Amino acid sequence: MCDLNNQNTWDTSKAVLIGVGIRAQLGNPIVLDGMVGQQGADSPWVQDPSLEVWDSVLGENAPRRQVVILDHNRENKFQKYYSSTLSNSEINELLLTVQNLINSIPPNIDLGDTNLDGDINVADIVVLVNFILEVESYNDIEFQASDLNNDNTLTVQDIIVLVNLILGI
Amino acid sequence: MAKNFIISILFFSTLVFTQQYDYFLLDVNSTSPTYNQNVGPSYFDTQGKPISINFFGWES
Repeated sequence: MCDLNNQNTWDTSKAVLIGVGIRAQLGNPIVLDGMVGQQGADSPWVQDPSLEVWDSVLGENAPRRQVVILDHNRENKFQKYYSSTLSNSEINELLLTVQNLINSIPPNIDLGDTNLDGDINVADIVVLVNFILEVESYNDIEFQASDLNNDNTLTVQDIIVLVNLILGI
Repeated sequence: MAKNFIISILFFSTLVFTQQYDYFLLDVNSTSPTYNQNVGPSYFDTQGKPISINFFGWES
């Protein structure tokens, strides 16, 4: 049995473990136990009786006990067959893959939140002015939050847009 | 010219071979928060969990 634990092993606020079975035997605990293992007790366990999902993701007649990790674009970034309980190195490989994919999730950028504190207020104007005057340097994320008129440069025009945004004009 | 051609081929190849996966299937785990709902990767994406670890593991 592939023994996956979805508790305290990865950032469960960003990644979810889904057990996918092939038989529609609702209420049969033996079937469910085989899908994820007791430790994944609160995970969604779904059934694919038509094999449609299995075939599309794994290919036809693919072996069972495979883990497929999809990234934020729902692209297959990891696929591996496990013949038995995962070894420590296999668990570490899985966890590292999940963490790397979590790290690759693009941040939510609020246009105008130049200091990236989650609020848009006068403090963002100060930061934007400093960016434009090159008093402060900025990274890619700060630039995207600061380029309010989307012209790929930081100018006084961005300040005007930001002021209007704050004033609700 | 040849360089642009090669870049174009690589770009369109990426478009062609990049495949997205998704599904909606019934959650039959009575202890799961989404019990009796159709769920899948895109469902959990909308719940703020864009990464899915899909274990195709049913065995008899």
